Amino acid sequence: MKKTIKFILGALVLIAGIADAQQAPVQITTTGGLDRRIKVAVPPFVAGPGMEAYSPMLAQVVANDLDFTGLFTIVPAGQFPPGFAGMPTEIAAIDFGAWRKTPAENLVHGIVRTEANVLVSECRLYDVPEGQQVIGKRLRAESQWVRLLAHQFADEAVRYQSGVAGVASSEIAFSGGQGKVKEIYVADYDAGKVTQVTKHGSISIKPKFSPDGRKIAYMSYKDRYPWIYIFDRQTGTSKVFSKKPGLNHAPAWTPDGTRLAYVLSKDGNTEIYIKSADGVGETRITNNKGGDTGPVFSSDGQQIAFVSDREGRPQVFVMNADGSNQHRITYQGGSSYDPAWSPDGRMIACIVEKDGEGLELWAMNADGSGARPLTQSVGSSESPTWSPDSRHLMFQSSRSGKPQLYTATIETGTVRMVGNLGHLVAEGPSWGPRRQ
Amino acid sequence: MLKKVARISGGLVLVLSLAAFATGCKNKSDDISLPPDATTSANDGLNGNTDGLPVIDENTIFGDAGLKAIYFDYNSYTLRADAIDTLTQNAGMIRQVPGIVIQIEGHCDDRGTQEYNLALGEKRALAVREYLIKLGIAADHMITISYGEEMPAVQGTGEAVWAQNRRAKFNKAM
Repeated sequence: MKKTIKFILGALVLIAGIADAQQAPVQITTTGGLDRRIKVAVPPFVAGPGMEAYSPMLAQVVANDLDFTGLFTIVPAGQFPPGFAGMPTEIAAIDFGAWRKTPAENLVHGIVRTEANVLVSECRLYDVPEGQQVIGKRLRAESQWVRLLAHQFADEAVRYQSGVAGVASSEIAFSGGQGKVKEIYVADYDAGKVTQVTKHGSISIKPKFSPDGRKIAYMSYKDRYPWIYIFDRQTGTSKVFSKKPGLNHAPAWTPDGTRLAYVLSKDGNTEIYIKSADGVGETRITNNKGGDTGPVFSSDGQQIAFVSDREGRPQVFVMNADGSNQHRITYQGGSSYDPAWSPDGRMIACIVEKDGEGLELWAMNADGSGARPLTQSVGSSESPTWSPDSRHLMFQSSRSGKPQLYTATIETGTVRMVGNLGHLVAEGPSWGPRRQ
Repeated sequence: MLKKVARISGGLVLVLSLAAFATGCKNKSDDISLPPDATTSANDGLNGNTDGLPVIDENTIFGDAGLKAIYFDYNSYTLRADAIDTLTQNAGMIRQVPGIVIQIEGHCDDRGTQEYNLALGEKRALAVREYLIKLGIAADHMITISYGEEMPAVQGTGEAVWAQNRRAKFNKAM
């Protein structure tokens, strides 16, 4: 697994002559019924010798990444300037006069070539009406991480336009099933590159990325019993984190990555416990007749959202991290499960199952107010996880017949399938941090 | 029989810890009125088939004619009347094989979420374990394991399928 972090970190180097790139960001909204998304043209990259295959691919990844944000809309190639035959290698030769006659407000100019067997790309974002470069990035990566070049540039383009970097360079972990076996996988956020992490030949589920993305906690039956393991991506090995009698389940990292909350049944009921990531200082947090499960920390680490059936049907509760002040926040009727606390601390997503209806994805303010559904009557949704920028949720849905991963964008309500996992049953995603 | 317990190697720690836990629970069984047949047959007629009854041993107890699964209502870990009848019969069989260690497996249908169902399956297994303790089965001879919705007995959807998947079943602890 070493290779997963071996991509070259020289990454983001400002290209000379674009000091004004740090100017005040433009706020993009789609309120008022007006489509205020920025129209951006992303022509194929200019390819150095032997790089031809990467040329359209990188442009496509950038376009997909920008489109995903809901902040941009992609100008189709058919609306490029008449007779367009590719971008010039020299940026001074870009014909802004011709581009101003197209709908494009922004234009991407990318170059990809090799230097000493390492891929190098130079990417620029232009303001078309002004004819001015607004972002320039030189990015480097080994060829197996070529898509990261596009993702990292897209994240910077999003930062320029919205003030907050995009999430295209982030990774996801999920449980991928084939037959009776479920293994843990890691992928680009768009599933463009998928890597199998575990090879236990058992049922391994519910991966949870550590906040720094270097470790993955998960539950597995690989040693027969439901125990919690932590996979270290640097060493490529898994170690047992908890193997108490009965159920060991639902690990959740503190925001600083030093401790985890998790569920044990060793004391005769499913209750929530906390100990350090290296296994020291187990403390029981909940203690009541109902079953408690599914803990997640708030972004400041001060609170925990969890599921409890102490009042009958399972509902989402919130408590302080020491177990004090336990109170229910979901009142949608039926049952509520799988809370996920947004990284900005403001929202909690969960799954609501009203009587006689399916499992739907909901989002609400962290105090339970303002609850609204994000999916409606299409298959069964489960296991939401927030993007690092708190703008999107990823979740599993059975709408296509078998569980697959989907995203929902909070602001627009857009739901999309995460591509390229067709051969796997994909469950329980965990959205990890951006890669540097 | 001691050998058998030792053979569960990794599970031995579990069994010992459960034994510690069980001693704290013993008083609970005082106020339970046990069905008449639950208390009479312990350890007698272990291998006797003089009445034409089948021999109850480790092989039969986990076979088709052995311990029966019990079933639950949706989103519930409360033992139904039919489950209590089945558990009473099961307890009678378990008592005839002294020293045997039983694994109680809790399962769910695929409604609810995968995460919650793992907890629910464990609650089902724990409810069974608690009732068998009340029927006199030694706490340190039972371990629980939840499979949540991971191992359905029957594939598909609809109440007829779900009802068969909401179950606790019995296996030999390894």
